[in-house]
Amino acid sequence: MVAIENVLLATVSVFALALTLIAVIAFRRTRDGHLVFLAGAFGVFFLKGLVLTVFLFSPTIDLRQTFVLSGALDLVILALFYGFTLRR
Amino acid sequence: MVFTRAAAMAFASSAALAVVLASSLAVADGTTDSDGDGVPDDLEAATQRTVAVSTAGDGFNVSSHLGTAPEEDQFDLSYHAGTFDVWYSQTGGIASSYELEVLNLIAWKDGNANGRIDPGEIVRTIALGPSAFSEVRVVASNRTDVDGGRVFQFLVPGRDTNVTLNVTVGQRFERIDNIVLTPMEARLDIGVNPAVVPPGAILGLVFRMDTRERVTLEDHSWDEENHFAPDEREINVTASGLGRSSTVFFSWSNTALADGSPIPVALMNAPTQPSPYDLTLTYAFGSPAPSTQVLQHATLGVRSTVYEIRRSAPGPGPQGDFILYVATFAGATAFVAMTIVLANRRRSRKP
Repeated sequence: MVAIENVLLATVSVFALALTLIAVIAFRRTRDGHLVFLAGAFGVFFLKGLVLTVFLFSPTIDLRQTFVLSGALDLVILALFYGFTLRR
Repeated sequence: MVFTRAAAMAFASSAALAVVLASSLAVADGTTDSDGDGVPDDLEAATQRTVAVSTAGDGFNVSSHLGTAPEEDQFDLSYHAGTFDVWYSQTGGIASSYELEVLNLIAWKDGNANGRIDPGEIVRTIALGPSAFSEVRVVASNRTDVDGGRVFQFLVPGRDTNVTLNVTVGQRFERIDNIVLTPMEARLDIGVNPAVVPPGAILGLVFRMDTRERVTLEDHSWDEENHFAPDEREINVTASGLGRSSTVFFSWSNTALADGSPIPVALMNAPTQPSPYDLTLTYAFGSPAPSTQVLQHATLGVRSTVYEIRRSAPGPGPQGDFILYVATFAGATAFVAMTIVLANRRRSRKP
């Protein structure tokens, strides 16, 4: 049976990285400060993908630690989106 | 306007990718069920029992074992001359058992139409048990199911051919007709020749159950509640003590087949203390009366503690697959790169 978590994590990481780069390029072209929040949110999303990937390939996975870390990163992502939305 | 179009493109691309991804994931995650019985192969493998059988003359023995210490249990079924013995025990637990004799065939006329078998209403009794089955050789056979599980069958034709017993036991789950036989039970098909019933009378099949343990009648069987069988009733025999308990059961379908057509089955008498208990299943024929066979499906089985432990055990945690991860990463990267190239090409074409 295929381990779906591999497919999901890889896809999420790639998309998060692409969106981060696009947001950074957009900021450099426009110098619009709002886009920093957006780029930050996508960057943390990418970071989350990397961290979960490390967890995935580590021999022992502490489910509680994974939940805590994932939840904390989600909170940061939401805060950045919140900042991006509020400043517009 | 340009932003709106780009957003729409991005949304459409993402949606398309999501659909492709979702469909591939659905295929990837699909748990296999190689024998099509509705039970996933991984659960079947985890609960596959080791079954040993032996036959000798007018009897047979089945010994079914699951697990290793400290989580193991044993289910024994033995038959001799019309009487079944069911026994179950788990490691460190308590044993439960019952004896079930296929006692009689009766024909009765409900003269006062009260739905009960009153004294004098039985017009014919045909003794079964040792009278019909002693020294009748058991015909044993076995086969291997599609998923690799062994299935054992025992055929016992009655001496006067009025009743035939057909017992099936499997190592794994096995679909038979409209039921799924679990590894923790034996299916008992009882075929009765309807010619024993005089015109206008009702057929009755009498069992005698003997046990020293607590007996309860349930309106719905465990198999029915777990969608392994439709519309069944059940008698549970539970032994308990020292904070532990174990249960064996006898269940039967509320529908029998009369020449292949379903007819209702009624239980005439609930078990009452003390043991032994006579259980009578009755079959009111429609018109025309069946001419070939009335077939009653019943089950003798156990509540396997080890099965419950393994069924409810959490599945394996996330598992890293380096090749799959890299392949997906490469695929998603190619997709993103392609969409960026296409978007740039479109933008450069604009005047």
